[in-house]
Amino acid sequence: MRKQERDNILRCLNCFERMEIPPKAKLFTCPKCKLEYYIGWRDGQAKILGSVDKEEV
Amino acid sequence: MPLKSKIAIIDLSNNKITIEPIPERLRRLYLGGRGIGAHLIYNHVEPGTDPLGPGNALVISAGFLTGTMAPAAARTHIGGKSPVTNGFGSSNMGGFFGAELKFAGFEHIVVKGASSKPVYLWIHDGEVEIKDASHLWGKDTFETPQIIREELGDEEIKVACIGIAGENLVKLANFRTGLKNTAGRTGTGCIAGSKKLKAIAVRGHQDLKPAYPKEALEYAKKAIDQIMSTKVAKAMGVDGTSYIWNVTNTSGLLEFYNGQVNKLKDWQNLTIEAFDEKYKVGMVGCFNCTVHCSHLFRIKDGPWAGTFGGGPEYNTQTAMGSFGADNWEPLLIGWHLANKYGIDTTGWCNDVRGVMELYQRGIIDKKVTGGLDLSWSNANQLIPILLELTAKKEGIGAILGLGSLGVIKELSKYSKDVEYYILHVKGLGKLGNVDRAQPSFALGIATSTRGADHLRSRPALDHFHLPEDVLKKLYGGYVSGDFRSYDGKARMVRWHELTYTVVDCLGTCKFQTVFFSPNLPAYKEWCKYLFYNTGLEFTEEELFDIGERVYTLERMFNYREAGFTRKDDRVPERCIKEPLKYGLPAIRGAHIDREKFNKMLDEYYELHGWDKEGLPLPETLKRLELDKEPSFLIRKGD
Amino acid sequence: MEKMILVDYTKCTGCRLCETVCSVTNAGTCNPARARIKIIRWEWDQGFQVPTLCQQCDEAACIGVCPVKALSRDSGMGVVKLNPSLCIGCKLCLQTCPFGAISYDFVKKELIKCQFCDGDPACVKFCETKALQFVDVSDAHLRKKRSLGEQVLMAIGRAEEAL
Repeated sequence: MRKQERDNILRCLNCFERMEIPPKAKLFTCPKCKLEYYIGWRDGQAKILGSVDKEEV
Repeated sequence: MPLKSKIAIIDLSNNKITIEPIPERLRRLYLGGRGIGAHLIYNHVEPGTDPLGPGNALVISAGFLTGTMAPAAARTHIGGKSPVTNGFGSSNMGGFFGAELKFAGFEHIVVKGASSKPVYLWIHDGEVEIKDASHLWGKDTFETPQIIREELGDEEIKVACIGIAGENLVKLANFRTGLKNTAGRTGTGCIAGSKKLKAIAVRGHQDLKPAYPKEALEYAKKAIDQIMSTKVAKAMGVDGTSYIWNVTNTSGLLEFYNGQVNKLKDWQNLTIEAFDEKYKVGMVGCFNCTVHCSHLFRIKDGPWAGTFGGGPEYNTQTAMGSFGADNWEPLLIGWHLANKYGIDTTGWCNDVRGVMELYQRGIIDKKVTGGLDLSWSNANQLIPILLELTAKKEGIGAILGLGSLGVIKELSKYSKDVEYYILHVKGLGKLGNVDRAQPSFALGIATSTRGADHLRSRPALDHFHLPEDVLKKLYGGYVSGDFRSYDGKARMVRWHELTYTVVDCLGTCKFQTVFFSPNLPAYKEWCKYLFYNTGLEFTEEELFDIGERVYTLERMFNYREAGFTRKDDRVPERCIKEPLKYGLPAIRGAHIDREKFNKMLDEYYELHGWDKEGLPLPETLKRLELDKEPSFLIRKGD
Repeated sequence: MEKMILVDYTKCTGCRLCETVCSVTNAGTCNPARARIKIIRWEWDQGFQVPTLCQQCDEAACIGVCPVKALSRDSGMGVVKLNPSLCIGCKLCLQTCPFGAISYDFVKKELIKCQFCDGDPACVKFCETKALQFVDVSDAHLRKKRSLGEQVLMAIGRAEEAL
C-alpha cells in the first residue's frame, strides 16, 4: 500500500502557518494572521481558491 | 542500449548525412540531452553567424534516459543560436517524439546549412532521409503530422514540425509535436524555417535495452510509488499545472496588464473546476508518465464551437490570461491558435502586453496598429486576429513577432520610454508571473542562460517555507527560509539551475523531480536510473559537475555570440521601480532592491567561479575541462 | 478461476508505460514495438486512447488455424498459450485473429502474444489510472456496475445539494 501525503494540510500563503482544514470546509481563517480563504476540494485534496478580500483590485 | 544511440549530422546545403557514435568521454563530460546538445551547438554553430543563415545549426537532443524505463523519460531539447536573443537558443518539449527518436537509434540530430526547397527529415531505424516538403508548406502544425503519417503509411510515426510562423521566419516561431507539446522558446521554429526544414518524422523499432532489465523495472516501480505518493503528483494529475494558478493569484503573484496589476479580482470563472465543467474532455500524459498532467478540451458552443485542443498549462494560462480575461474561452482559443501557427505563447504575450501598454499610454496609436484599437478591454477579442497577423507578418503582426528587442527597435522612434514597457531579459520575454516579490526568482530570470526564463532555475521550493536546517542540508550552505529574503538565495538559485540542467540532460520530466517537492526524485535516484538503464555509474557529485560544465558552456556561448556579461544579468526596471500594488500583506509593496540584487549577483558569480563581469575565470574553465573547448572567451584587454 | 485483463478505455491516458514494461518483462528490452499490448490513439480530434490486448478467446480463431498445434488454451488461468518450440512462424494466427492480438517479434523471429506474464501482468502493475485490471472473469462485470453506481451516487449527491 502506498503511503500518501496528508490531503487536508495547507499552508497560509501570507504567514506560512500550518492550516488543518476540516473536511468539506468552504472557508477557513488562518489561526495566526487571520486571513480568510475560500477552500476548494479536488478528489479529497484541499486547495486554496482565493482570499476573502477587503482590498479594491 | 542507450549507449549505442547515435548522432546524425545533416547538411541541408549539400544533402550530406553523417552518422556518428557518442564516445563515452562525451557521456562523462556532458551526459546527453541538453548537455551533449550544448556541446554540439557550441561546436557546430559558426561563430558570429547570422541566426537565420546557413551557419546556424538546429540541434535536436533527446535525453540520455529518454525512451528508457526511467519514470517520465519523455523529454527532448531543441536549440541553436537564437534569432530572438542572439545567444543560446534552448527549448524543451515532452510528448512521444524523443522516445521514438531513441527507438530509431538516434539521440541527437544536428541540422546545418540550408535547403533551397522545403524539406522534411524522415528518420527510421538507423536511417535518415531528406524528403520533399513542398506539399506541406503552408500547412499548420495539426495537419502536417497527419499528412506525413498518411503518405508514409504508418499511424505510429511521430512528427515535430513548424507552422506558418516558422515558414515566414517569425522570430518567435516554435517547433512542436503532438497536440500541444512545444519547444516554444527562443525561436527554434524560426531557425528551422530559415533552413526550409518543415518537419522531422521519426519511427523506431530498435531495442533500447536496459543494462539491468529486472532492476530497471523494479526501481522504476519504486520511484513511481515515491512520486505518486506526493500531493503535487496527485494535484497535477487532476488539474495539471493549473493547480498553481489559484495559489499565485490569491497571493498576488500574477502579472496582468503588463505588470501594472498583480491580482485578478474576478477569478471565480477561471478556476480549473470552471474549466472542467464546461470544456474538459480528459487527461493525457507523455511517454512513460504516470502523472498525466495534460488536459484536453472541447468547445461545445459559441463562435468557436467544435474546437478541440490541449491545455491549459500554468505558463500559457498566465500568458493568455494576462490581458484580464475573466473566463476560459479567450485563453483556450489563444493558445490553440498559437499552437496551430507555431508561435511561442510566453514570448508573444509578453511583447503584446508591452505594446498594449504603449497604446494605453498613447505612445503609439492606430496609425501604428493598422487601425486596431489595442485597448485592454478589446484585448481578448483581438488575440486571434493578432496571432494570425503575427504568423503572416502582416500589419502590426510584423512587429509583434520580432521578439522583445525587435519590438523595442521598431517602436523606439515614438518614445525613448518604449524600452521600459517591453519587459525582457537578454531579449527574451518573461512568464506572466511576478518576480518582484522573490529575490530568488528575480536572480533566476536575470541569469538564465536563455534569457528571461523560469524553468532554468525557478526554485519553487523557496515558497514552501521549509525549515532552514533542511535547506542547509540540501544546498550545502545557509539559505533563508523566507522567500522575501536575499540571504543565501544566490546559493539556492545556483543549485537549482545546475540541477535542472542535469534533469534536461537526463530527459526525465522536471515535474517528477525536486522542482516541485523535496520528496521527489533527485541526485540519489538519478544515479540509480542511470546505472540500471545505461550501465554507467555516476556519483551525485559527478552529475552536479556535469550540470555546472553544461551551464558554464552555455554562458560561454552567450558571451561568444551575443556579448552577454553582467550588464545583461538584470531584471526589467519595472521590477525595481514599481512596488506591487495588490496582494496579500506579505506580498503587497514588494519590489527588487537594486543594491541587494547586485550584492546577490556578486555572490552568485563568486559561487560559480566567475569574475565580476560574470565570465568564467581561467581556473574555473580548467576545473570544468572547458579550457580545451574551442573557447572564444576573449576579454577586452586580454 | 479464469482471469482477464479488464480494459477501461475511459481511464487510459495514453502514456504507453504498459507497452514499455511489457517489452522489458517479456523481451528483456525497452521497445514498445516488441510489446504484447498496444495503445491505439486518436489524438487530433478525439483525445481517445484504447488499450488493445489478446482477448484470450474461449473459441480462439488462432488455435483453430494453427497447422502445428502450437497454440492451446489453459483453462486454469484462462489464457491462450503459444509454444515457441512448436511454432513454425507461418503467421496464419497473426492474419486470422480478429483483434490483431498476435504480432511478430522481428528480433527473436517468433510470434508473440499476451500470456498474462505467468499470472502477474506487468502492465496491470504499472497502470497508474487502473485502466487495466487483472480480475476473475466471474467478477469482471461487477467493477463496471460499481462504476455506474458511483456515478448515480454522485448525480444524486449533486441533486441533493442543489435542492
